[in-house]
Amino acid sequence: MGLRKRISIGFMSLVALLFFAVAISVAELGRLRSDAREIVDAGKRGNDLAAMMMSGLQKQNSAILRMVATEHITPDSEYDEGKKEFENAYAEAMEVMIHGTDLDAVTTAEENYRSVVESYLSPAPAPITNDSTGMLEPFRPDAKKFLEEYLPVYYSLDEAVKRYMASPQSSIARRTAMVEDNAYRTITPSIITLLVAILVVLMFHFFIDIYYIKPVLRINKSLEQYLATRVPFAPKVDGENEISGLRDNIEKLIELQKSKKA
Amino acid sequence: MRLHVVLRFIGMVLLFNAAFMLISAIISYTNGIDSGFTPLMLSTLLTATLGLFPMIFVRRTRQITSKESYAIMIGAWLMSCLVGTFPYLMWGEPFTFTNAWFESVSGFTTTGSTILSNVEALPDSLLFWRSSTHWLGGAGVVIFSLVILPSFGKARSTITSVELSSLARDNYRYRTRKIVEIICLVYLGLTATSTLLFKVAGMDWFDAINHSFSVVSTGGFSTKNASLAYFDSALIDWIAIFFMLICGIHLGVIYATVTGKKNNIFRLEISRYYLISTIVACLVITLSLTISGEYDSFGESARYGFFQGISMVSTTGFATADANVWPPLALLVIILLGIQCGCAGSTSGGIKADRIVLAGKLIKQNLVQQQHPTAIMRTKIDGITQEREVTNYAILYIVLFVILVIIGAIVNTACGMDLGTGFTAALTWMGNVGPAFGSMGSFDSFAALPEFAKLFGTLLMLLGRLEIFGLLQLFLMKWWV
Repeated sequence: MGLRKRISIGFMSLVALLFFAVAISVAELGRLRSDAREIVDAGKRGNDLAAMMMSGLQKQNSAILRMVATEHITPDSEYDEGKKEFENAYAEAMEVMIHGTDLDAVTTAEENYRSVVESYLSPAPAPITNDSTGMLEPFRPDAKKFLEEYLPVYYSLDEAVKRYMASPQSSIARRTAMVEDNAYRTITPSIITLLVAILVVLMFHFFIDIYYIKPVLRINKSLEQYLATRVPFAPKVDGENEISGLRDNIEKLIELQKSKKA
Repeated sequence: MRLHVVLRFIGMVLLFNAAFMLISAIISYTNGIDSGFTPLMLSTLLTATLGLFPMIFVRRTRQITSKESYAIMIGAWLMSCLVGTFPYLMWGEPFTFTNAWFESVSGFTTTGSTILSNVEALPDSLLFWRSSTHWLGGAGVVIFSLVILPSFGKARSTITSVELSSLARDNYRYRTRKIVEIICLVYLGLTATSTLLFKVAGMDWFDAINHSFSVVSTGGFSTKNASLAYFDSALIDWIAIFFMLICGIHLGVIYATVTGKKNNIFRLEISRYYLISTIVACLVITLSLTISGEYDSFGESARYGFFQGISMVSTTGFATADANVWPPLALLVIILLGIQCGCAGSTSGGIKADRIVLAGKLIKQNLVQQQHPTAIMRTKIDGITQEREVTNYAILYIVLFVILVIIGAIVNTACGMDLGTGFTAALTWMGNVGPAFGSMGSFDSFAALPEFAKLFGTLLMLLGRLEIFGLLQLFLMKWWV
């Protein structure tokens, strides 16, 4: 391999390493940016979903309270509408698992709420005989007893949804800490690549020095000494390359000059 | 010394490291590209660049001086430890630089101490790289002690000279290349056999390969948090016991035994002493466990006692039981085994059986000399007279080893460890054993140590691995000129 090729490979290696370091940095920064964007989006979406759950819960609550107050057997359509709204928001939150721990609390509270409401609403009340009229009338469970069970689970679910709504604040701090860790990871490959590049620079400098610069200086010094004092021209050059070729050619030139003089 | 030639050879070693990083990355790829893929691929590229660069400029050289070979080995070791940190650092938590350096040095020096509290959290590819550092380090150890040290003058070849009672008499008839071939053959043979037996005993291929890397290099890294105890198999335990015991013996003697040569394991003084002392010590541990009622039967006590004892003497550091809760006598014998360790020319660390035998003979000789002051006494091992320079070096080594352990214990206790843990941690690092006792036991990690203690630990590991003087020479610049 020739002098030009070796030096070119040396420089190309350095350029490649530096390019590599920059490329890794850009790629990792892109990932970090998308992580940050994800946090913001997740926070926003979490708030939206919590608001939907709250709205759904309010609709269900209004429908149930109306049902109890008007002594109806089943709640009106707003109950189904609210239930659907709540379930959709909940399902989406589960799917993206935003603020996991707080969502677990919603899950538990929702299960309790659903259990109390469903047991009140189904199975469909069987008609019973009215003692005074002797007619079959639909059974109405004790509304007061139901409300005693219903209100705590409702407040519990309401509280859980509110906590879920507030959770983006705490979760952002958690996720920001994760991003901070990722930021450390992001710069590590680039730092390592730069360190390797520094080692390569040091080696490159060392090799250029011992294989090319020092021999050229030796040849120059030896030539100067030859010209000044006729000290034999014999610089030490390791290996076989263009520099040793230069030395050989100078030796030949000297020999030629000597033979011409003779 | 020709630094450029040294750099070329170190580059070749780095290429070996890069090859194993690439294999680890391939494992990641076959596992559906786990989280270790990118760190390992990047590390492969960077390590290969570092390894290949000197080859662009430096021509192939066949003749190297002993000083150059020494520099190559030390440089290769340190550079391997450095590039070994790359995959860990790029993988991220819990690998800070100190932790990654600790894990890498512990791997390449075949110590087996870890900062990981949850080994199983690492992807398979990184676990494989972790075991590979043991295997590569183990190969380096034997080449260092069998090829580099003997070529380096009487005083520094002491440990090998002692062991020359066995292989070296044969070895010196061979050329260096032949010795390296024999070492590689034995090393590969032991790895392949242990892998196969672990597989037959019930491990999957991945665990079998990783554990065989650890056993043959007497390292101690496992792919499981509970080490070999995870498998809870008597067969696996006894296979590991056999290979740990064998791998504590000079690889050349193993070769001589397998090829039916005269200088086999059972005839040579050092290997005979190693086997007998180990078996007696393990029997003491077993009896102690039986008498204390730690295990239900003698068989159970033998299984755990022999495993723990041989794991310690071979400096492997695997665990199947928490020896911390064992009777004091068993614990003391285990610690003593960790001071003596295996034979020179093996991958084990510590003072080594060879020096213990030599020291014993010197004590006996001095006692006789006191009775017969004018007598001319010679220290012989397997009929070979050991020169005064050699015996002095062995004693000096033992003294220096003890001094360094004491310094290590002082530093560790100053860093907040209790006395028992601090002492055994220093001992385990100097002897390249792995786990300590007390709060840093077989199933614990060194994660909680302060950064300084971890860095100091890596210094002790390197000092122990490079036979103390090997590393100290690095700091004597005048010596290199």
